[in-house]
Amino acid sequence: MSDNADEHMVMPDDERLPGRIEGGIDAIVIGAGADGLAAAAYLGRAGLKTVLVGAGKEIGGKVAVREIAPDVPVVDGEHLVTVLDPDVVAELDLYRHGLEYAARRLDTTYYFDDGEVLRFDGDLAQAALLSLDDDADRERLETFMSEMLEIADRLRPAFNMSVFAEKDGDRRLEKILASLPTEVSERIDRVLFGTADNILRARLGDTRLRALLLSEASFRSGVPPFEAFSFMSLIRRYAGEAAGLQGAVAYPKGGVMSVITALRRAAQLAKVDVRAATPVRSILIEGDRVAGVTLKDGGQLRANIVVAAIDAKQAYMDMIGPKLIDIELQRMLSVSQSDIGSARLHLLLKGVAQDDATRKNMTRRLVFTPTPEELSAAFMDARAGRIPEKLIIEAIFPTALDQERSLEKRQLMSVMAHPLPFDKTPDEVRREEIKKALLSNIEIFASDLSERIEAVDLRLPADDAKNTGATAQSYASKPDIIQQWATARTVTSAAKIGGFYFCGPEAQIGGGISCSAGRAAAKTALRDYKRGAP
Amino acid sequence: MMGPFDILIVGDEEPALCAAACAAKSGARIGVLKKDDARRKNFVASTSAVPNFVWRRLDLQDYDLSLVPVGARVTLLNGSKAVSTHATNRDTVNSLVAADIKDHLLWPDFQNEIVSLNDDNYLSSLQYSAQISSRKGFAALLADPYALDRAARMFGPCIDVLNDYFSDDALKTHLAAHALSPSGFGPKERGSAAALVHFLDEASWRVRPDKNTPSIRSILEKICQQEGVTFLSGRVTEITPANGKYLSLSVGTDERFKAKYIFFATPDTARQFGAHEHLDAPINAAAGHATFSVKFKLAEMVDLPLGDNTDIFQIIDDPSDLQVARDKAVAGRFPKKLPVEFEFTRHGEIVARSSYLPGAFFEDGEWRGWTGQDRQAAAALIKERLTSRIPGLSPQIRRTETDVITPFLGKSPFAGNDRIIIQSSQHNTISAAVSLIDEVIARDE
Repeated sequence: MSDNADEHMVMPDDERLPGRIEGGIDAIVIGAGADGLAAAAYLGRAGLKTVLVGAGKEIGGKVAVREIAPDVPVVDGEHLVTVLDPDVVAELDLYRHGLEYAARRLDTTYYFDDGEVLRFDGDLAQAALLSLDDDADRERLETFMSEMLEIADRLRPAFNMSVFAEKDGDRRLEKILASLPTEVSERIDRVLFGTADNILRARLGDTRLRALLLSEASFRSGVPPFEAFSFMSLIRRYAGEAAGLQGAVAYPKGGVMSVITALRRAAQLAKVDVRAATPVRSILIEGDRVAGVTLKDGGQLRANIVVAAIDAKQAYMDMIGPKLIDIELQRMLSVSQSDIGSARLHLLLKGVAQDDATRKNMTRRLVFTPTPEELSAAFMDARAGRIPEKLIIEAIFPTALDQERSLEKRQLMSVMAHPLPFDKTPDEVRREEIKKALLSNIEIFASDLSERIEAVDLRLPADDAKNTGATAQSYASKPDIIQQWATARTVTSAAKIGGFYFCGPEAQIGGGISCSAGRAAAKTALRDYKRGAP
Repeated sequence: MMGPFDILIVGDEEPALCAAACAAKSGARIGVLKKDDARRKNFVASTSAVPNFVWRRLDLQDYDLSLVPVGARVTLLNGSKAVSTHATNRDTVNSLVAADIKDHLLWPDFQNEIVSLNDDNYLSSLQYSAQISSRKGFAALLADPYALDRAARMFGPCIDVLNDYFSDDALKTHLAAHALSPSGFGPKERGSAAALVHFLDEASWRVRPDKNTPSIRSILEKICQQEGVTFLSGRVTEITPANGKYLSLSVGTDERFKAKYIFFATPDTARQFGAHEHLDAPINAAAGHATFSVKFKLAEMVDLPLGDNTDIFQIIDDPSDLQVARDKAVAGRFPKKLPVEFEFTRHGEIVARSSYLPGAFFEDGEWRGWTGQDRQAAAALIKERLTSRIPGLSPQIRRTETDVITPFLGKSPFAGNDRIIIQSSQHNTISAAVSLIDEVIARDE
């Protein structure tokens, strides 16, 4: 954001000459996304002289602000907060640093193909109380939700990985999970490997309920809802917390960018030296320890701690190099490439809501829910490289949610759509096709859309990657939960290079901004540092 | 009133009868619910091997049973290209060398490493049924990065495991086709790697009864009767929990009895009888397909492009065919390039089958079941596929029989009940069914 530019800590020019070797640094964090900022803030707060370097021109990683029309800014990357680690919010004091929610828990309106509508309360424990006619369905949903929220809550330590930052994390996690009540662990056993389709079919009679939960389970996931482990994606989402409420969806004032701004202020308060447009070429290894990084401009930063908050392929293969990493990690980084991704779309619409009902709806999260058949067809199409006819649409109206962002006689709609084929380098034709498919799906629940469009802006994973210098594949949808767990554990522990810590996207289970990987990496680094300090 | 039973086994295919005989011999009260269609046994050419421990427990040496391992596993690809693998690593490597497949050097390691993925107790029990898996095993799983990595590979997509070792498309297609064809899985699907793990186990090599001996099925039926197994017929129509550890079952219209557990020896039977909701393990996520079989009685033996009438064959054109066919089947449509498996019975007939057919058809926004026309279309499709590889086949066909196993549609009688155990592997089913029923009995004690 332009008004924050002056907060960017800039080193005097003469100290940043190319080729210069800079010492006196305790820790370097590579990557200026949310996790990198959080990790740097934790390190800085502990008194380490910390430098954060980001490849992109702006701080924030894929969360970035652009104008899609004069004076109409939009936020790329995420558009909602769903899984922000409450420990990070509290410990880094993000509320004091400006994080403020315009809506703490959005209600969701689900739209179906046949014109039907269902509304869910933002408090999922209350979800069953809303807009369902059949008492039996309502009761089933209520039981189901309370069971799932409990499982999710109990599995939280396994999802946010923070337990691994502690000593003997493995054994500690095993102890936590093994001490669950038998009833809960039996339920976990039953859903751990199951398909969303099977589990929901067995638990809920109503087809619309099943369809909407199938959509929630497979939204942003690389796993089709009829394949193994697909149900766990839903549990992962429900294990998250936004604005202090489990499973809720929140909208911060100023959009998700304000999370980045707050993290950045926290980092600055911790005296972190934040440098944008400073791409790293390689990570220096001397003996079995890191010694710093070399920059693309030829300069060198020397430090005994390097935290990588960038994608694993870049960190391990490009910056450390295949010679120094073990074969298992190499295998993990090369197989299991996701062929599914999501897309962002921003629409600037003319006119304002004419009636109260519409106005109210614009302050909710709107989800278009394909039928189970359409959803499975969508995943098959996407996986085969075709653009699905029907797909899941998640839409919000930032201008209605946040008074300060309201526009005169216009509305901004922010959309995330899933599943789409993941393209490394999508061409113009492809973009037009995707845009068309998205608009036709949005039109199912937002009629007369086409006459009102003033500007359309499509954002694909490849665009985000280009902006941040990340490997495009790392912005594709994530694989199943077991694979994510396995990958996360390997990328955060396999390097066996002293002083190197990883908190890139592969270290996080599920999507969304969480920062728990950044926190875990920093805490591990600090633990080692204190142990090693004389 | 019959029973009460310790275990009611639904279905009377070979693995079910083996499990029944072994369980009854160790003292359990067993009922077997026969399938109401006796014709199906005509479509069995080879069965999974009878492992030594079963052979000894049932004293099979006392019967005139002689089982011969099938020859090679052969895949007939497009344009007269073919790949085959064999019972021993040496024969497989030789045949890969002969077919000019460079990956042959990796074969022995591949076989050993993949099969060893199944050594973990928790993972292998999870594949079958969450109901008898070791409690709290997931705690150990999540806390152990090594076990997690194995789980991710074992229950991941089959194609990831193959890509990890091999570069040759023909070899990868061959392995995926043989490993996945019984379950109708797509190689990109999660869970499909487990089918590959099972398939590569040496014990999964199929056998066929010798030409002059009684069928394995008739011997097993005889043993079951000697051991006091009760045979029933009809379908389970209703299940309610009864007092104590029992379930109360209705079969057909008027018969009622009690059983502690209901057991399915194969995932196909479970799906056919409506226990699909209990198919909750990753390996049997492959729902939504029908298995269609055709038997051709031949006037004379036909010439094969590779292999002989003791082999098991797959017909497939492109590496992507399996996934495309799977996607079509799930969407309720016929795949154009249907993957087909075929073999010869000991009487010289061809038995061809495919699990890549839709369980039900999706037309005009509605699901509908199989009709006579669909059966004809499926038979024609399979015949066309066979003729594409065996040009001289058509004139030799004297009689054609078809059979389709479709998933149960409608309200399942098993829904909402515990104590329903399903053996999920499609390979080495006899061994897996007997081991699983042993576990159920052990747990009950």
